[in-house]
Amino acid sequence: MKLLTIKNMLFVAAVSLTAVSCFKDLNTVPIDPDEITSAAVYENPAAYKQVLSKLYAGLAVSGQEGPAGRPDIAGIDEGFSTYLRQYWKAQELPTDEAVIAWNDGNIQDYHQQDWDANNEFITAMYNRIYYQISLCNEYLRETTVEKLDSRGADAALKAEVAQYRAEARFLRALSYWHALDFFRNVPFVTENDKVGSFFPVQYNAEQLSDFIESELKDIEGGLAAPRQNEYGRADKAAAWTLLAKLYLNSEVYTGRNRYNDCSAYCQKVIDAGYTLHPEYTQLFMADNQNASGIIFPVLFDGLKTQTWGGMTFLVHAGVGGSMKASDFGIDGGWGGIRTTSALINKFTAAGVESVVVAPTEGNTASYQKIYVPGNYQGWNPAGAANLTSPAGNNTYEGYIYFPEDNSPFKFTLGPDWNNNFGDNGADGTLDQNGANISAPTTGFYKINVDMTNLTYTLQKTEWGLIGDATAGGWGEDQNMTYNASSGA
Amino acid sequence: MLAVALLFWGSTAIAQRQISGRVTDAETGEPLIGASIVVTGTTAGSIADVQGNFRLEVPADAKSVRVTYTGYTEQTIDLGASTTLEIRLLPGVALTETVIIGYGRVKREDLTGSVVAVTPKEFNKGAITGPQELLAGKVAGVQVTTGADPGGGATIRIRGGSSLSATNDPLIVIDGVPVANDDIAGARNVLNVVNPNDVESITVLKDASATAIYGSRASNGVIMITTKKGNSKKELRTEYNGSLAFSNIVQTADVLSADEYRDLIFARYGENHPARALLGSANTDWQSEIYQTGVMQDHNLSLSGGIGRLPFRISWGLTDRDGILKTDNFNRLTTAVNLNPTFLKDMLQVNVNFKAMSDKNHFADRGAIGSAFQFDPTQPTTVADGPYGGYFTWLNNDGNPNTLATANPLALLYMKNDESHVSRYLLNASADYRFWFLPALHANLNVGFDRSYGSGSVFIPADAAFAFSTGGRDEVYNQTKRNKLIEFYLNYAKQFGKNNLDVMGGYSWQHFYRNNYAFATNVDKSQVLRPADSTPREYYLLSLFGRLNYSFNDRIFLTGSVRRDGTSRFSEDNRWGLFPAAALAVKAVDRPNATFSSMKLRLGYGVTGQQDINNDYYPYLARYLASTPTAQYQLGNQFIQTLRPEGYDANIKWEETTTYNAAIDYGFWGNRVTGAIEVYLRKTKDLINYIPVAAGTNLTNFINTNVGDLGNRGIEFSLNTTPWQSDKGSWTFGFNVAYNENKITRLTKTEDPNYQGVNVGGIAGGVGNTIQIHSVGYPANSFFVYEQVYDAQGTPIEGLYVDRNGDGKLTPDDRYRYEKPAPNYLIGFTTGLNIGKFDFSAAGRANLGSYIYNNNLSNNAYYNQLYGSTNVLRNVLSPTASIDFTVPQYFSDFFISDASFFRVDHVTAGYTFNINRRIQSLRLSATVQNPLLITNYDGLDPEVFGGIDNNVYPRARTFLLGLRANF
Repeated sequence: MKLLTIKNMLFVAAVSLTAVSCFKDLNTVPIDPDEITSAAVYENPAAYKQVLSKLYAGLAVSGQEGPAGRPDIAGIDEGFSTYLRQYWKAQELPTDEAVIAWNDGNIQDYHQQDWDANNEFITAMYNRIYYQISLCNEYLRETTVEKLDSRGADAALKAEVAQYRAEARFLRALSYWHALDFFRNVPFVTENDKVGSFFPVQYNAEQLSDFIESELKDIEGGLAAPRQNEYGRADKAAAWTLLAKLYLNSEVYTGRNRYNDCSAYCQKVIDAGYTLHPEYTQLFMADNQNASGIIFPVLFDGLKTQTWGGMTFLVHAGVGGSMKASDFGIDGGWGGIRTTSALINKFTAAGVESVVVAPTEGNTASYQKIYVPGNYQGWNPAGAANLTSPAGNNTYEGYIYFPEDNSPFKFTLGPDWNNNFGDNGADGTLDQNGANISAPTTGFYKINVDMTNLTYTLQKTEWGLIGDATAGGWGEDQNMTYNASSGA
Repeated sequence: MLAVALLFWGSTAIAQRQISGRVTDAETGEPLIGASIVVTGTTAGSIADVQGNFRLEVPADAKSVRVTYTGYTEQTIDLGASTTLEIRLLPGVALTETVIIGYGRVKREDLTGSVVAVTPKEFNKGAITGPQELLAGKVAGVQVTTGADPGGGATIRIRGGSSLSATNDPLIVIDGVPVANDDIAGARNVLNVVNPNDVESITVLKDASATAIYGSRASNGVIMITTKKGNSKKELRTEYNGSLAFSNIVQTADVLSADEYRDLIFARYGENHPARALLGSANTDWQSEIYQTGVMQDHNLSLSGGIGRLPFRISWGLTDRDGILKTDNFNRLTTAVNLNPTFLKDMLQVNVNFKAMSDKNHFADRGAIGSAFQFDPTQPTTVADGPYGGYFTWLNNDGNPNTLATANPLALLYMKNDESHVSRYLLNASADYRFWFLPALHANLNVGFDRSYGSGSVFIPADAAFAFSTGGRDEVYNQTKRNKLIEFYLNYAKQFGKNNLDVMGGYSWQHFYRNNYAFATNVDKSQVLRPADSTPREYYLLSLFGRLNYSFNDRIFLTGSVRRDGTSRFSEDNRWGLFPAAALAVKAVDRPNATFSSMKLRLGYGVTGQQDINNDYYPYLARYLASTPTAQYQLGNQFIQTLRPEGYDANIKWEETTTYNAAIDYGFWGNRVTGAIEVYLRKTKDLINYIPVAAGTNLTNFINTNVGDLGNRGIEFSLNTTPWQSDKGSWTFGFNVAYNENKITRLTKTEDPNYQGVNVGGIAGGVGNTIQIHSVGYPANSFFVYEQVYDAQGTPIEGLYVDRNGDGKLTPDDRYRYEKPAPNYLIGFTTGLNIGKFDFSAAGRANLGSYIYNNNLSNNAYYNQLYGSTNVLRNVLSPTASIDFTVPQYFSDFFISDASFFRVDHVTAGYTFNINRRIQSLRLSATVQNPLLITNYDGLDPEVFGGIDNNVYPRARTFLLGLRANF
């Protein structure tokens, strides 16, 4: 009896376990809430904009885990793989405008002009462009009217998605234009192709150029009016600008001269109310969303849109040698990108002394600031250079170039003379309505002002360039002086 | 003497003589009560008494006696003229008589596949914390590359690797439970749950006819670890096994001394050059600063016996080991319990295994190894009352720590608190029931749970110079793993005259779950360095399997097996794979006492699979992945969490490896010399490969898909011999050699002669640089380099390479595939000598034809490293002067070196005392691990898995004192 019972128990256990653990177990779906199947993702209407935002983010970030992690594309270090970093390298490094000091793979090929198809940076640019195109295609596949209907979307959502689709097509056209500009005859894939692994058709420059043009004209009506869309999203003016760029180079791409079309579309953009921002350097500051004249920005944020590309790369990589990282609002330079002596020499030959790059990242035009009117600029407070207080603690800092010896100036709290400060007795202490302060010799000065304690310091500085382009190689830097009249 | 001879001679026909002796456990020296001693070829015998003593009348012409004892290896003792025998039996009956295979056991001599069992007497000795290390060099074709950090893991490769992107690790089966061998967060070695002291045997299944019963996970071989069990026939046994070990670094890298460095700086930089001003006045040997004598203590206590009808074994282990890198520590507690009662007149056998581990780690930052090469030797280690923890730090011109400078190695060690605590338990219970109405049939149910929880933290204070940019680091992480197994099979085994039939069929269900969590901020929490993210994942494996063993007249053996595996990783259309295998063995010679005593021919064929694509659990499924809060995108005034469509291959399926194996097992001189010669061919098709797809056709540029074929072929030879054996002792010697050749035969779906291959093998120097490639026609991981040009003196000419494609330009197309990290030949030897109460053992290995990229040299032997324009100095390796490079030449084949080596893994000597009745035996031993290394390689250690020598934790030389006592 006992024997039978145990035997039965064993059998029951075995059979029931077999039944419980049935073959349906193999039909799993992701259990991580961050991972959603494509079948389920659009059940949430917010997903339409979330996926759209990835299409925009594709121009900025490298993956889903800023600044790095879960990369979008592989085959290259993730930090290198962002769209803008690649784009900048491909556009600038082959020219005399920039060199790079690093030994990452075959990066030097760009400057040495001996790249080939196996260069990983060129491959990465190519892959990044097509990554963007295939994501746009996926979005267009998943947001058709039929699909929206099948998901029971209401009219408001459908209208919204229609505009999203136009923007997705704009982004695709933008990347196809980059493909055309860099690579010319390229694979052509649209939302009509399925996701898989196949050999796509190749389009020549003329076919691709026609496609981009027809796309941009086709979506024009679906895009928001110029400057009327949300910040960061493309509008009609973005499409017009892209058309203008396409037409500008049309003769190079296809042999067809389209300069008249280029001019017409440029005019449309100008007529839409864009103006050039009066302070050029402010365009490169962290609060440049307040600047006029930006038609289509790629957005970065130090906390929420982190990447090793974009401004992080452009600012950090450019700081090295005797440049002080803290002057640029960063923790340390990467000593990577510089300009060439050939560029410097060009300016010298034209009788211009040199060029200097303004500090950007970490500085904003909205910081507390004071003005430094003086003889060097015609004693006009409103047009005078600023000193800013990055920490907002009423101490100000900045750089000013004085083109002559003993150049007099003052500090004002506003763009007027209402509250102005000078220095009686040249003792380093500020006096309201005091005597003019004077920079003793021609040159570039670092000025620090403490408005709480009413003290200031003047320190003459020298800015340098370093690189294999300069005479001393990477070992030493060449001093540069600021050219005020060139605005740089 | 004469009298004895006369007596012997005169009583040939009828006379008897008396022999007596004692039977003891060869390892513990304790008596084996009840051991049976039988005169060979007769039924005359005797039984050992409580002290292990026996007396036996033997016919005068008796040549030998056979000594057997349950749980021990049978021994045949030549009698010669002696009348007193001291017989020492080795524990481990399963290992000679029967061998564990998947879902069953088979008599060793009946094996049809390539199966090798390794037992404790052959195990490596020394400071060993993980079971993998026991195996190094023991089995032909099995490469075990151990890590050198305390408690570190090991990489095992069986007959090369049959996969490329998917894992090449063998399947590990612990007491019948196939375990997941992906890493446990915070653990140094996934197998640390198995205390080597608890291991009874390790069986390696090499060819597909043996492994195919494990189907989808068996492409890279199977390693079955069996732990010790209780035995109710014995009285209570207590064993203590402890050791104390001291480890030291064998060799440090040859860098410039402080004076040499000063001279070089003065020679290369002019009078007013800033480099001169940066020189310090100290003389620091940074490498000696970071290393220490690593002390290990290891204590193990086990109790075994039977309580009533319940045989049990219970053991505890405590290991505490400091690494030779300062601050590195491993501390582990293990417990193992085995209960194996039988019920219903032995019709129901139950076996319960419980293993638990709790380990605590302090991880030293290995970056200190490389920093110690590079750090300027003229600088002091610390600055009194200085900032940044008091460690000397390179500063920027704005007075902040220079983020590009080499970090102070001691700051890396002492200002980073990287700790983890891992607990794991492995519980399995099996019940084997023999049906009362049909004893040939039995049912087996095996249920297993494997749970682990690893948690850790990394804390770097805000004033640590190397984390200055972020303001320190405060990181926590944890991981939960829960794996479950249910297996059931029926087995029918019966002899019909000369025919022997053994049929088995079963079902297996496994569920794997894991969840990783991590979150890191800086110290004041103002910046998120790693967004909080939890990533639960799971997958299932379902299988049906069956096997038929048939033998005729104990001469011809046939095995056929089939396994059908389903995985949740693939789509419904592709998820089932069928893995058949067949083998034939013929005993051509079987004359136990003859000179040519045995020969068996074996032929095997089998198909195995692979679905273990690292961390991709849903490679077939179209899905979207949300971004973390640090990768949002701003539209309007809102930052939006983006959703990214993921690349996928809806048609991904099993990778399949077909193996052909042919072997001859041989035995000479009454099987005093045995061994095998094996040849094999292994072809993998539909490789699961992480490869680029045509631009624009998928949702990313690289996906996991089935593209490519590769092959491994090789030959193995093994020899086990007992050159000397007498009643005074014995000498055993084992030797094995294996040759393997690996070649990729296809990588793209369509022929594409322009396709170079997949770049792999990241190196230090630059960012994202790789040195290896998978290319068609070459072995996996071939080095992909430029061919260096040398001057007449044999010095490499900087930047000058051979224009191999002859196009007049030097482009990346001029790189070529030059050698590979995997050795052509693996050689291992093990030897043991027992004389009276002394025992000696030694083991060693050689790898021939393995190559290394000396990344330490390529990244630390060029002049530009000396001074950085951001105002730092760095040291270089001494060969810099002879290499004479100014800028690094990472891709020169100059840095690829032959890393063949011969290493003696350990030499051990022991002495066993028989003290009194309370302490039955006491063994003292001394071991030197890694006493000898012969190699031409210039780096620190030629044994580097993956072939890229960079910041590799150096293998220590260890002196160990051991004590074992049996009560």
